[in-house]
Amino acid sequence: MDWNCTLVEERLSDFLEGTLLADEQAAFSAHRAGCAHCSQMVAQVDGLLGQMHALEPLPMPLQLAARILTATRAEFGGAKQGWRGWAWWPRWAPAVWQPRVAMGIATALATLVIVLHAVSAAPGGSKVAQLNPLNVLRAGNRQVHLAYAHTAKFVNDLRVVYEIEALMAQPQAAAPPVAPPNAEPEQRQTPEQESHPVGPNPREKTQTMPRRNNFPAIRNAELAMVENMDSTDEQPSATLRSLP
Amino acid sequence: MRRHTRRVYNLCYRFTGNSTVAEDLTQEVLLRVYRTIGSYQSQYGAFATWLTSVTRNLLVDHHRRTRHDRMTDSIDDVLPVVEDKPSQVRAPDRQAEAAELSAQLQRGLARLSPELREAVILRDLQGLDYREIQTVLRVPEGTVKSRINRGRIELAGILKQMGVRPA
Ligand SMILES: [Zn+2]
Repeated sequence: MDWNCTLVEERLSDFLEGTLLADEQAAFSAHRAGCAHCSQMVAQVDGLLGQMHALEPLPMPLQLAARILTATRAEFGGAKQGWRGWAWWPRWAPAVWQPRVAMGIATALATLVIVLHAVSAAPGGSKVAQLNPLNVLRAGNRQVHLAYAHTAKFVNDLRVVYEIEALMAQPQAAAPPVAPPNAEPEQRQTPEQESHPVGPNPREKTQTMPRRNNFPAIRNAELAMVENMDSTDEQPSATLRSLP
Repeated sequence: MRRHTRRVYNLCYRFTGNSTVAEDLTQEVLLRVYRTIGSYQSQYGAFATWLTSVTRNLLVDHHRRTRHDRMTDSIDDVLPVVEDKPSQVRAPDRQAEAAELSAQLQRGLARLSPELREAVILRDLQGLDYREIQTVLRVPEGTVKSRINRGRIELAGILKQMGVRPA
């Protein structure tokens, strides 16, 4: 069968992706060889595909990750909603692991270490004078500062994990398996979502969440996200750490 | 998540051609993902495909929302907003060449109809396969294939018109 220009145009992608059958391939090539228009078109599209496939993705704007984190934190409110997946934790535990509290604890511990060091290093036991800040500073040696720095770094890393976990734990796990949100066919309008794209999801208000029963579902959602986080090509902490 | 965020940003930028809008939309996508991650089930498909669907739905919303602006400001269609440098500079540098091509491609994409534009972006810039695109666009496979094919041919023609040399 002889192919015309229309048919060659229709099957161009099949040809370029190598999915034509042998006889189709022959018919395509035969027409292409005898038709200047089609041979030029094939070359153009072939070249375009090569260029597009070689194109590096655009870099993400520097401030975007931080901006998103700020926005998500503003909406989800950090610890208030987070950590529901860790139902076996004591109730006070989430508060302890809030970055600010954890940082406070770390600071207090480090201070205590420095003070104890100063006191124990002084001959003749402790005197109030030795708790003078200057003496304490002098006595605080490099090791202690290093230990403090490590703790601070740990808390910072923890904070990143915390931020992400808090966000991950937020979603509505009891929702049925459905298509993505706002997944209606193109023609159908979704007025509320359209007019309030960042407003609260009405479903979230009416749905009451049993605290423990949905545990497996939450874990699944979390695991899915964590699975995807594992494959990140960059450490998020570098950006997140610079946040206030 | 950073890799995913970058993909979302790229999709938004390539579709809208405006980095500020793309940033806003990316943020909106991630907020929506965090709100609705519970509705994501692995049987729906890969997480990346789901994320692309969420992004695409927002892009469609955005496109509808801004349709009026585009019609009243029709110069947009003739001269799409491009933030890159003028095209006459022939830098010998490979990187500059790639940036130049990227900008030209952006101008070309802006002149495609939204249906063809999204199909080409998903296939040739985001690297989704036909099945994944079918899932994202929720149209039959034949429609996906013909949109991609027509989009490629039209885009090649537009770029030729713009004087872009094929590779
Ligand atoms: Zn022909």
